Amino acid sequence: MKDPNCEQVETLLQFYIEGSLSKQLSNAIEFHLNICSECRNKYRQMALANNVNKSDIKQYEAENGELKNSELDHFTKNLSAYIDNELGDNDNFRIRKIAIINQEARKELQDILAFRQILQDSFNKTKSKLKKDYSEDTINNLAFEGKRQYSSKIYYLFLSALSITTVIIITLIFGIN
Amino acid sequence: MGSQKIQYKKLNIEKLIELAQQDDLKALEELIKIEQKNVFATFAYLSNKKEDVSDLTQEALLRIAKNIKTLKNPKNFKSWANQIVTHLYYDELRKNLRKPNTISIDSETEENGDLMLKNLLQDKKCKPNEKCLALEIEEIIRAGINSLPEPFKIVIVLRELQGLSYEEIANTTKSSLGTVKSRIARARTKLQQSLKNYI
Repeated sequence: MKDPNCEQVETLLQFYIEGSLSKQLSNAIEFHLNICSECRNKYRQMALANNVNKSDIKQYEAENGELKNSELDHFTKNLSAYIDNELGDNDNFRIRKIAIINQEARKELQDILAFRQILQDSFNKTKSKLKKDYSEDTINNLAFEGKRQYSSKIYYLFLSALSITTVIIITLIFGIN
Repeated sequence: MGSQKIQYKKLNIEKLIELAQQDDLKALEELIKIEQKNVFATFAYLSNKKEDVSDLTQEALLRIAKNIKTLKNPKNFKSWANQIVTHLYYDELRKNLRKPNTISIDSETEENGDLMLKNLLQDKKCKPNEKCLALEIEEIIRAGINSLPEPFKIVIVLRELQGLSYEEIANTTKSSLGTVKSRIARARTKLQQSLKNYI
Protein backbone atom coordinates (compact mmCIF):
# COMPACT_ATOMS: atom_id res chain seq x y z
CA MET A 1 0.00 0.00 0.00
CA LYS A 2 1.21 3.47 -0.92
CA ASP A 3 1.94 5.69 2.06
CA PRO A 4 -0.71 8.41 2.44
CA ASN A 5 0.37 12.04 2.09
CA CYS A 6 -0.38 14.83 4.60
CA GLU A 7 -3.58 15.87 2.89
CA GLN A 8 -4.97 12.35 2.90
CA VAL A 9 -3.96 11.84 6.50
CA GLU A 10 -5.74 15.03 7.50
CA THR A 11 -8.93 13.90 5.82
CA LEU A 12 -8.80 10.55 7.58
CA LEU A 13 -7.77 11.82 11.03
CA GLN A 14 -11.28 12.08 12.43
CA PHE A 15 -12.04 8.48 11.43
CA TYR A 16 -8.68 7.38 12.79
CA ILE A 17 -9.51 8.92 16.16
CA GLU A 18 -12.92 7.28 16.15
CA GLY A 19 -11.27 3.98 15.31
CA SER A 20 -13.42 3.37 12.29
CA LEU A 21 -10.64 2.71 9.77
CA SER A 22 -9.40 -0.63 8.53
CA LYS A 23 -6.39 -2.02 10.34
CA GLN A 24 -4.20 -1.48 7.31
CA LEU A 25 -5.22 2.17 6.86
CA SER A 26 -4.97 2.80 10.57
CA ASN A 27 -1.42 1.47 10.60
CA ALA A 28 -0.48 3.61 7.62
CA ILE A 29 -1.72 6.70 9.42
CA GLU A 30 0.03 5.77 12.62
CA PHE A 31 3.23 5.40 10.65
CA HIS A 32 2.75 8.81 9.06
CA LEU A 33 2.04 10.45 12.42
CA ASN A 34 5.30 9.06 13.73
CA ILE A 35 7.31 10.75 11.03
CA CYS A 36 5.36 13.97 10.37
CA SER A 37 5.29 16.54 13.18
CA GLU A 38 2.78 18.81 11.43
CA CYS A 39 0.17 16.08 11.15
CA ARG A 40 1.00 14.92 14.66
CA ASN A 41 0.10 18.39 15.97
CA LYS A 42 -3.16 18.36 14.08
CA TYR A 43 -3.88 14.93 15.46
CA ARG A 44 -3.27 16.10 19.02
CA GLN A 45 -5.58 19.08 18.61
CA MET A 46 -8.28 16.98 17.09
CA ALA A 47 -7.95 14.32 19.74
CA LEU A 48 -8.27 17.04 22.35
CA ALA A 49 -11.44 18.39 20.77
CA ASN A 50 -12.82 14.86 20.64
CA ASN A 51 -12.06 14.44 24.26
CA VAL A 52 -14.10 17.53 24.97
CA ASN A 53 -16.83 15.99 22.88
CA LYS A 54 -17.16 12.97 25.04
CA SER A 55 -15.85 13.03 28.56
CA ASP A 56 -16.03 16.75 29.23
CA ILE A 57 -19.57 17.14 28.02
CA LYS A 58 -20.74 14.29 30.20
CA GLN A 59 -18.96 15.76 33.17
CA TYR A 60 -20.31 19.18 32.40
CA GLU A 61 -23.86 18.00 32.10
CA ALA A 62 -23.60 15.97 35.27
CA GLU A 63 -22.24 18.90 37.23
CA ASN A 64 -24.37 21.70 35.93
CA GLY A 65 -27.41 20.26 34.32
CA GLU A 66 -27.25 23.23 32.08
CA LEU A 67 -24.68 25.79 31.08
CA LYS A 68 -23.47 28.37 33.50
CA ASN A 69 -24.65 31.84 32.59
CA SER A 70 -21.12 33.16 32.75
CA GLU A 71 -20.07 30.66 30.09
CA LEU A 72 -22.94 31.71 27.83
CA ASP A 73 -22.03 35.36 28.39
CA HIS A 74 -18.47 34.61 27.43
CA PHE A 75 -19.74 32.86 24.32
CA THR A 76 -21.96 35.74 23.17
CA LYS A 77 -19.30 38.31 23.92
CA ASN A 78 -16.52 36.50 22.11
CA LEU A 79 -18.29 34.78 19.25
CA SER A 80 -17.52 37.55 16.79
CA ALA A 81 -13.82 37.55 17.65
CA TYR A 82 -13.87 33.75 17.50
CA ILE A 83 -14.97 33.66 13.87
CA ASP A 84 -12.31 36.26 13.09
CA ASN A 85 -9.70 34.00 14.63
CA GLU A 86 -8.71 36.73 17.08
CA LEU A 87 -8.95 34.78 20.34
CA GLY A 88 -6.28 32.96 22.29
CA ASP A 89 -6.21 29.16 22.54
CA ASN A 90 -7.99 29.12 25.86
CA ASP A 91 -10.92 31.27 24.73
CA ASN A 92 -11.18 29.37 21.44
CA PHE A 93 -11.47 26.19 23.41
CA ARG A 94 -14.24 27.58 25.62
CA ILE A 95 -16.24 28.78 22.62
CA ARG A 96 -15.90 25.46 20.82
CA LYS A 97 -16.93 23.58 23.92
CA ILE A 98 -20.12 25.57 24.33
CA ALA A 99 -20.96 25.32 20.66
CA ILE A 100 -20.78 21.55 21.04
CA ILE A 101 -22.80 21.37 24.25
CA ASN A 102 -25.47 23.97 23.70
CA GLN A 103 -27.83 23.84 20.78
CA GLU A 104 -28.75 27.51 20.90
CA ALA A 105 -25.12 28.52 20.99
CA ARG A 106 -24.47 26.25 18.04
CA LYS A 107 -27.27 27.93 16.13
CA GLU A 108 -25.82 31.33 16.96
CA LEU A 109 -22.47 30.25 15.58
CA GLN A 110 -24.05 28.89 12.41
CA ASP A 111 -26.07 32.07 11.94
CA ILE A 112 -23.12 34.37 12.31
CA LEU A 113 -21.10 32.29 9.86
CA ALA A 114 -23.96 32.24 7.36
CA PHE A 115 -24.36 35.98 7.74
CA ARG A 116 -20.68 36.50 7.10
CA GLN A 117 -21.01 34.47 3.92
CA ILE A 118 -23.83 36.72 2.73
CA LEU A 119 -21.67 39.78 3.42
CA GLN A 120 -18.73 38.29 1.56
CA ASP A 121 -20.88 37.43 -1.45
CA SER A 122 -22.27 40.92 -1.46
CA PHE A 123 -18.80 42.47 -1.30
CA ASN A 124 -17.50 40.28 -4.08
CA LYS A 125 -20.46 41.20 -6.23
CA THR A 126 -19.80 44.90 -5.69
CA LYS A 127 -16.14 44.43 -6.56
CA SER A 128 -17.02 42.66 -9.78
CA LYS A 129 -19.36 45.48 -10.73
CA LEU A 130 -16.57 47.99 -11.16
CA LYS A 131 -16.50 48.72 -14.87
CA LYS A 132 -14.36 51.84 -14.91
CA ASP A 133 -10.59 51.55 -15.03
CA TYR A 134 -9.04 54.26 -12.88
CA SER A 135 -5.43 53.26 -13.44
CA GLU A 136 -4.72 55.37 -16.52
CA ASP A 137 -6.37 58.47 -15.05
CA THR A 138 -4.43 58.00 -11.84
CA ILE A 139 -1.09 57.86 -13.65
CA ASN A 140 -2.04 60.85 -15.80
CA ASN A 141 -3.11 62.87 -12.76
CA LEU A 142 0.12 61.93 -11.07
CA ALA A 143 2.15 63.13 -14.06
CA PHE A 144 0.06 66.29 -14.21
CA GLU A 145 0.65 67.02 -10.53
CA GLY A 146 4.34 66.33 -10.99
CA LYS A 147 4.49 68.80 -13.89
CA ARG A 148 2.56 71.36 -11.91
CA GLN A 149 4.98 71.01 -9.05
CA TYR A 150 7.86 71.30 -11.49
CA SER A 151 6.46 74.42 -13.17
CA SER A 152 5.68 76.01 -9.83
CA LYS A 153 9.28 75.34 -8.80
CA ILE A 154 10.51 77.10 -11.93
CA TYR A 155 8.05 79.90 -11.25
CA TYR A 156 9.40 80.43 -7.73
CA LEU A 157 12.98 80.21 -8.98
CA PHE A 158 12.15 82.88 -11.55
CA LEU A 159 10.48 85.07 -8.93
CA SER A 160 13.41 84.85 -6.54
CA ALA A 161 15.89 85.55 -9.36
CA LEU A 162 13.81 88.59 -10.31
CA SER A 163 13.70 89.92 -6.76
CA ILE A 164 17.44 89.42 -6.29
CA THR A 165 18.11 91.29 -9.54
CA THR A 166 15.81 94.10 -8.43
CA VAL A 167 17.61 94.38 -5.11
CA ILE A 168 21.00 94.46 -6.88
CA ILE A 169 19.82 97.12 -9.34
CA ILE A 170 18.39 99.28 -6.54
CA THR A 171 21.60 98.98 -4.51
CA LEU A 172 23.64 99.86 -7.58
CA ILE A 173 21.52 102.95 -8.31
CA PHE A 174 21.62 104.15 -4.72
CA GLY A 175 25.30 103.20 -4.49
CA ILE A 176 26.17 105.36 -7.51
CA ASN A 177 24.09 108.25 -6.15
CA MET B 1 5.32 46.54 -25.57
CA GLY B 2 2.71 43.80 -25.50
CA SER B 3 5.02 41.23 -24.00
CA GLN B 4 6.09 43.76 -21.39
CA LYS B 5 2.50 44.28 -20.33
CA ILE B 6 2.00 40.55 -19.84
CA GLN B 7 5.06 40.47 -17.65
CA TYR B 8 3.64 43.13 -15.33
CA LYS B 9 0.39 41.23 -15.09
CA LYS B 10 2.33 38.18 -13.98
CA LEU B 11 4.13 39.96 -11.16
CA ASN B 12 2.88 39.61 -7.62
CA ILE B 13 1.74 42.65 -5.71
CA GLU B 14 4.89 42.98 -3.62
CA LYS B 15 7.11 43.01 -6.68
CA LEU B 16 4.84 45.58 -8.32
CA ILE B 17 5.12 47.80 -5.25
CA GLU B 18 8.89 47.47 -5.26
CA LEU B 19 9.07 48.51 -8.92
CA ALA B 20 6.54 51.32 -8.42
CA GLN B 21 8.70 52.68 -5.63
CA GLN B 22 11.55 52.86 -8.15
CA ASP B 23 9.46 55.14 -10.37
CA ASP B 24 8.25 52.38 -12.68
CA LEU B 25 4.94 53.86 -13.83
CA LYS B 26 3.84 50.69 -15.62
CA ALA B 27 4.14 48.76 -12.39
CA LEU B 28 2.26 51.50 -10.55
CA GLU B 29 -0.51 51.39 -13.13
CA GLU B 30 -0.82 47.64 -12.74
CA LEU B 31 -0.88 48.00 -8.96
CA ILE B 32 -3.73 50.52 -9.21
CA LYS B 33 -5.57 48.15 -11.53
CA ILE B 34 -5.42 45.46 -8.88
CA GLU B 35 -6.29 47.71 -5.96
CA GLN B 36 -9.08 49.76 -7.54
CA LYS B 37 -11.76 47.10 -7.01
CA ASN B 38 -11.06 47.05 -3.29
CA VAL B 39 -11.10 50.80 -2.97
CA PHE B 40 -14.24 51.14 -5.04
CA ALA B 41 -16.11 48.50 -3.01
CA THR B 42 -15.00 50.08 0.26
CA PHE B 43 -16.43 53.45 -0.68
CA ALA B 44 -19.52 51.84 -2.14
CA TYR B 45 -20.36 50.59 1.35
CA LEU B 46 -19.04 53.53 3.35
CA SER B 47 -20.29 56.51 1.41
CA ASN B 48 -23.74 57.86 2.16
CA LYS B 49 -24.08 59.19 -1.34
CA LYS B 50 -23.74 56.87 -4.29
CA GLU B 51 -22.64 59.70 -6.55
CA ASP B 52 -19.55 60.33 -4.41
CA VAL B 53 -18.16 56.82 -4.75
CA SER B 54 -16.36 57.36 -8.04
CA ASP B 55 -14.69 60.62 -7.01
CA LEU B 56 -13.58 59.18 -3.69
CA THR B 57 -12.17 56.10 -5.41
CA GLN B 58 -10.21 58.23 -7.85
CA GLU B 59 -8.86 60.46 -5.10
CA ALA B 60 -7.85 57.54 -2.87
CA LEU B 61 -6.06 55.80 -5.74
CA LEU B 62 -4.22 59.01 -6.56
CA ARG B 63 -3.12 59.34 -2.94
CA ILE B 64 -1.93 55.73 -2.98
CA ALA B 65 0.02 56.32 -6.20
CA LYS B 66 1.47 59.59 -4.96
CA ASN B 67 2.63 58.21 -1.63
CA ILE B 68 3.74 54.75 -2.65
CA LYS B 69 7.35 55.60 -1.79
CA THR B 70 6.44 56.23 1.83
CA LEU B 71 5.36 52.61 2.26
CA LYS B 72 8.26 50.97 4.04
CA ASN B 73 7.36 47.32 3.86
CA PRO B 74 5.44 46.08 0.77
CA LYS B 75 3.93 43.36 2.96
CA ASN B 76 1.95 46.06 4.79
CA PHE B 77 0.39 47.42 1.61
CA LYS B 78 -3.15 46.38 2.43
CA SER B 79 -3.21 47.98 5.83
CA TRP B 80 -1.34 51.05 4.55
CA ALA B 81 -3.72 51.54 1.60
CA ASN B 82 -6.69 51.18 3.91
CA GLN B 83 -5.27 53.85 6.15
CA ILE B 84 -5.29 56.22 3.17
CA VAL B 85 -8.85 55.20 2.30
CA THR B 86 -10.01 55.64 5.89
CA HIS B 87 -8.36 59.05 6.24
CA LEU B 88 -9.95 60.23 3.03
CA TYR B 89 -13.30 58.98 4.24
CA TYR B 90 -12.92 60.81 7.56
CA ASP B 91 -11.90 63.98 5.69
CA GLU B 92 -15.03 63.69 3.60
CA LEU B 93 -17.19 63.20 6.68
CA ARG B 94 -15.75 66.32 8.24
CA LYS B 95 -16.41 68.27 5.06
CA ASN B 96 -20.00 67.08 4.95
CA LEU B 97 -20.46 67.98 8.60
CA ARG B 98 -19.73 71.58 7.80
CA LYS B 99 -22.30 71.61 5.02
CA PRO B 100 -25.90 71.95 6.11
CA ASN B 101 -28.65 69.61 4.86
CA THR B 102 -26.52 66.54 5.10
CA ILE B 103 -27.11 63.70 7.45
CA SER B 104 -24.90 64.00 10.49
CA ILE B 105 -22.51 61.27 11.50
CA ASP B 106 -23.30 61.41 15.21
CA SER B 107 -25.11 58.82 17.17
CA GLU B 108 -28.36 60.34 16.00
CA THR B 109 -27.74 58.76 12.60
CA GLU B 110 -28.68 55.49 14.13
CA GLU B 111 -32.26 56.59 13.79
CA ASN B 112 -31.70 58.32 10.48
CA GLY B 113 -29.95 55.29 9.13
CA ASP B 114 -32.66 52.92 10.25
CA LEU B 115 -35.15 55.22 8.65
CA MET B 116 -33.16 55.21 5.44
CA LEU B 117 -33.10 51.44 5.41
CA LYS B 118 -36.79 51.22 6.14
CA ASN B 119 -37.59 53.73 3.42
CA LEU B 120 -35.53 51.84 0.91
CA LEU B 121 -37.21 48.58 1.77
CA GLN B 122 -40.66 50.16 1.73
CA ASP B 123 -40.02 51.90 -1.56
CA LYS B 124 -39.25 48.60 -3.14
CA LYS B 125 -42.29 47.05 -1.46
CA CYS B 126 -40.30 44.55 0.52
CA LYS B 127 -42.11 42.91 3.34
CA PRO B 128 -40.47 41.37 6.35
CA ASN B 129 -40.17 37.60 6.35
CA GLU B 130 -40.31 37.50 2.60
CA LYS B 131 -37.36 37.32 0.34
CA CYS B 132 -37.11 40.70 -1.17
CA LEU B 133 -37.07 40.06 -4.88
CA ALA B 134 -37.35 43.64 -6.04
CA LEU B 135 -34.05 44.44 -4.39
CA GLU B 136 -30.74 42.74 -4.82
CA ILE B 137 -29.29 41.42 -1.60
CA GLU B 138 -26.27 43.54 -2.29
CA GLU B 139 -28.38 46.69 -2.16
CA ILE B 140 -29.99 45.64 1.10
CA ILE B 141 -26.62 44.92 2.67
CA ARG B 142 -25.36 48.26 1.47
CA ALA B 143 -28.31 50.08 3.01
CA GLY B 144 -27.84 48.05 6.19
CA ILE B 145 -24.17 48.92 6.53
CA ASN B 146 -24.91 52.50 5.66
CA SER B 147 -27.47 52.67 8.42
CA LEU B 148 -24.90 51.68 11.04
CA PRO B 149 -23.54 54.46 13.26
CA GLU B 150 -20.18 55.73 12.09
CA PRO B 151 -17.67 53.81 14.27
CA PHE B 152 -19.42 50.50 13.55
CA LYS B 153 -19.60 51.06 9.83
CA ILE B 154 -15.89 51.53 9.33
CA VAL B 155 -14.80 48.55 11.44
CA ILE B 156 -17.15 46.10 9.78
CA VAL B 157 -16.02 47.20 6.31
CA LEU B 158 -12.34 47.01 7.22
CA ARG B 159 -12.84 43.59 8.77
CA GLU B 160 -15.21 41.83 6.38
CA LEU B 161 -14.42 43.52 3.11
CA GLN B 162 -10.74 44.21 3.51
CA GLY B 163 -9.93 41.34 5.83
CA LEU B 164 -7.76 43.43 8.15
CA SER B 165 -6.78 41.99 11.52
CA TYR B 166 -8.07 43.60 14.72
CA GLU B 167 -4.65 45.07 15.34
CA GLU B 168 -4.51 46.64 11.89
CA ILE B 169 -8.01 48.04 12.34
CA ALA B 170 -7.03 49.47 15.72
CA ASN B 171 -4.07 51.23 14.09
CA THR B 172 -6.13 52.50 11.20
CA THR B 173 -8.98 53.86 13.29
CA LYS B 174 -6.69 54.96 16.12
CA SER B 175 -8.57 53.01 18.75
CA SER B 176 -7.72 50.23 21.18
CA LEU B 177 -7.87 46.52 20.44
CA GLY B 178 -10.70 46.05 22.94
CA THR B 179 -12.72 48.81 21.31
CA VAL B 180 -12.27 47.25 17.88
CA LYS B 181 -13.32 43.86 19.19
CA SER B 182 -16.51 45.11 20.81
CA ARG B 183 -17.37 47.38 17.89
CA ILE B 184 -17.11 44.57 15.38
CA ALA B 185 -19.24 42.33 17.57
CA ARG B 186 -21.89 45.03 17.97
CA ALA B 187 -21.79 45.93 14.28
CA ARG B 188 -22.46 42.30 13.40
CA THR B 189 -25.33 42.00 15.85
CA LYS B 190 -26.92 45.25 14.68
CA LEU B 191 -26.60 44.32 11.02
CA GLN B 192 -27.91 40.83 11.59
CA GLN B 193 -30.89 42.18 13.47
CA SER B 194 -31.79 44.90 11.02
CA LEU B 195 -31.50 42.63 8.00
CA LYS B 196 -32.73 39.31 9.30
CA ASN B 197 -36.25 39.79 8.02
CA TYR B 198 -35.19 40.70 4.55
CA ILE B 199 -32.49 38.27 3.55
